[in-house]
Amino acid sequence: MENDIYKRFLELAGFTDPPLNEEMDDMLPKWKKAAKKLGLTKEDHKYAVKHWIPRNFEVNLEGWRKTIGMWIAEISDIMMAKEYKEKGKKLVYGVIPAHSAYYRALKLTDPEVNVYFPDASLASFLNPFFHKIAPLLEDAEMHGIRYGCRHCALNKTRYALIRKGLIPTPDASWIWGFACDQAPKSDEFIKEYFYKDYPIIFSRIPHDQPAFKVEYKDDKRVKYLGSIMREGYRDVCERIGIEVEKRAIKEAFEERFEFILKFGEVMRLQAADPTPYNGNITVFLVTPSSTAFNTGYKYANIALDAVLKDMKERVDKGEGVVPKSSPKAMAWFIPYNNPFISNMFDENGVSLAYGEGLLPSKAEFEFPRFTDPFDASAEAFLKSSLIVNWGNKANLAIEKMQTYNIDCMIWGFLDFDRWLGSDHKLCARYVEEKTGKPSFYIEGDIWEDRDYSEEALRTRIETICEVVKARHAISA
Amino acid sequence: MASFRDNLKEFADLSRRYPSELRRLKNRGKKVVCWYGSYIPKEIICASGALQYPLFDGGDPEPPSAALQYLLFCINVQARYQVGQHVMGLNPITPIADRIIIDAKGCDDVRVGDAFEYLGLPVMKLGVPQDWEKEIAFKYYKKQLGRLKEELEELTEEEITNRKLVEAVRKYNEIRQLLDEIRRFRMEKPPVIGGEDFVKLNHYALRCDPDVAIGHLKKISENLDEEKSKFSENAPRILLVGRGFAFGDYTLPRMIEKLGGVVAIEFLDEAMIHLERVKTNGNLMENIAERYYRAKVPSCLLNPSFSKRWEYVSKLIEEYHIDGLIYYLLSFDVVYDYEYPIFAKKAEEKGIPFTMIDSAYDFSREATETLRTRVESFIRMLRAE
Repeated sequence: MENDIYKRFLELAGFTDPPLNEEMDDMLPKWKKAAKKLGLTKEDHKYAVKHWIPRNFEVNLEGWRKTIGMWIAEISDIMMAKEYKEKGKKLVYGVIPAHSAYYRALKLTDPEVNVYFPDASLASFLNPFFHKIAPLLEDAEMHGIRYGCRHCALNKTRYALIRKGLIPTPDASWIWGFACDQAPKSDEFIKEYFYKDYPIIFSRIPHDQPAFKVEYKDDKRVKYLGSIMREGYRDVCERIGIEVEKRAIKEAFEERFEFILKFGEVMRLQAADPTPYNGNITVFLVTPSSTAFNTGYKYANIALDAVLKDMKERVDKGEGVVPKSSPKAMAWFIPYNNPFISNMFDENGVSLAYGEGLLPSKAEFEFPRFTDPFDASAEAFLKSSLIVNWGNKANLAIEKMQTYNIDCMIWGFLDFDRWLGSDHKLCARYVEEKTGKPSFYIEGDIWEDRDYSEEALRTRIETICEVVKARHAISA
Repeated sequence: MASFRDNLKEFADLSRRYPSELRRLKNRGKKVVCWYGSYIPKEIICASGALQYPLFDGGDPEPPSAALQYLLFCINVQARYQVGQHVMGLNPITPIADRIIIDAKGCDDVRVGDAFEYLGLPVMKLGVPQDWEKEIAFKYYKKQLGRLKEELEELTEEEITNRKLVEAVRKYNEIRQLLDEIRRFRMEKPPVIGGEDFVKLNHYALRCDPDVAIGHLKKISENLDEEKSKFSENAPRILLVGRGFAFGDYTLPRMIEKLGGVVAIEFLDEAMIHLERVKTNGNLMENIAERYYRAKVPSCLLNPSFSKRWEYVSKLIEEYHIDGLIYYLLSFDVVYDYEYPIFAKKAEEKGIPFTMIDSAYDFSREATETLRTRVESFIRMLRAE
């Protein structure tokens, strides 16, 4: 009886569907252990199973179930990190945004190395599936990282996980401060405030490029970023005492590339009328390619196959999450951790189908100019809008709106992020000026909803959807 | 002989007239260069023949609110102030500036540059890699200074020769030397000069022609021997730490000193003239880079910095016989918000009383009275100890 609710939860996560059903017996005790560590009670599971998950995710679709399953596999593994460390495994932690392939290469070189993005993973799991990230955030807020200053929830999560001993201190924390100041300074905070031997490796780049400069075309910029990645990687390898084989780097990149290529089909199918799946799926599913999963791509590929199958069926039947001919919107970053937001758009007849970062730009189809793996990934990094200047970012959004025939652009949900979100007001204005299409900034927080509840956002989203539908009707 | 107060007032008047002087000279064809951030070498601007104008105003809650149409509310209040001040038409210089140089060492500072770019102002972002201990980062910064030099040469159509650089370096070294001499008077018990006046001296020296600043600082320095301290013998000696006091934001040091304490020394990243000199022998651009990037205590925004900065604070605590430490935290200043609990913890370990004062530049009656109560309680506690 006691196991029933956990089993029911794993059922919603695809562990009764083949091939995951073969792992049910293994996963159940693992999950119970992980849930206990995370403070997820039976009541929490009941709430998730009976209310929260069915309300926010179409778990009648196998694709959604298996995507949740993918996350459960990784979270269970993260929560065993302490045992792994005690058994002599080396742990390397990362934060987003970073290039996951380098972390995977460490793992592929030596299976005794475990790689985790603990905060991004836990934050992407606890709120969407249990609506329960707050206890970790509150713990951090009670122990040095003030609530009032609007620190990033990811950094709070990482600190709380370590401070509470839920995960051990790593052998190397490779912090890519390519975007914000907060992540690298958070690690420094952990070191100075909590654990003085916290092993940090910083990789940073200054944001000194003028507006509208296309950064990936600047060889010096690419080379500098490549050098910073190379140095960081070298330092990590030295710190954990391994020499990474070139074979492993190649394999990690190929593995990632294959996954992304296949994932591209999801984005292509999202273009169908009506949009077949809620936009949240795009972020949940693609995550292992941006944050290294210690479980690799095994579960991600299983989920991806199931999602593609569902999508194709829906497209064939002309079914979707919105009525036919509904306008499509693109968010700079779909607020997937508060899944009700994207649903709210769908419910109001505007499909928040895409995240900007997941739609390839024209530049991404260009042949890379650099062959060295670090320079090549630096070039690829600068083709995306993550760390580039605001004008470059806005122009990428414009290009994609035109290429993919998108009716509306949604910015925001990153009100805490001094880099990723802090130019969104400028971008929103600029994009609307240049495209003539609606471009909205919405105040919010992608990771948590303590300050921006569902009801607080509802009116704003309903109003936006009315405007978008009216503009769409005029242009039709 | 004029008193310190008379000299300070005269210096203040001159500094206040500096913006109108810049506008006058601009009309005669001189170039005006604004700068925002302590990693921008004033020496290079000075050697270019352009007129320099530091941006770091603050102390009023309206401009930060006016910036909200372009920036997020969680950008620190000081950064938002710069944008809001321009938007509201309150900055006399940004609309006529030929260049606005922003040191790109932190996200918030860069966003000031971004908003200025959006508003059509001529911005140059100077790259300051945050991982300052790496050789590759230092090389990058040096290249950035080379870029700055070239851009200013192009702007002023004047070559920045070695001779001009030497002259500029000497001027600013002399300013540092004079401020250093004045600073020594603060070690006395009670000190002849307190924190409010010293911060103002820095501000006046920054918003002034360097030759004029040298003249005034000399007068002040030479006459300080004769000055009597306005502070009581047993006034608690306070160290102020933080990003910086804006031009116009003097409430906290003034309040401390009115309530019976004295700001014996401060450790502020911005809007202060840091006293490390630029070496004058050898390659001057290299020396300037060394001075601004590696020789000084790293800004809070760099990685790593907390530990080195606390080492420096500890040294100040000993040298200036500090009784208590006040951390001046600007609202939403996220990286400094990480530093203050670390310093609070380390101060406790050292047995130094510590408090943090958070400012959103709100000096309404209610806010000021709350501030007064906090400062008064802290000073009373220091006295009791």
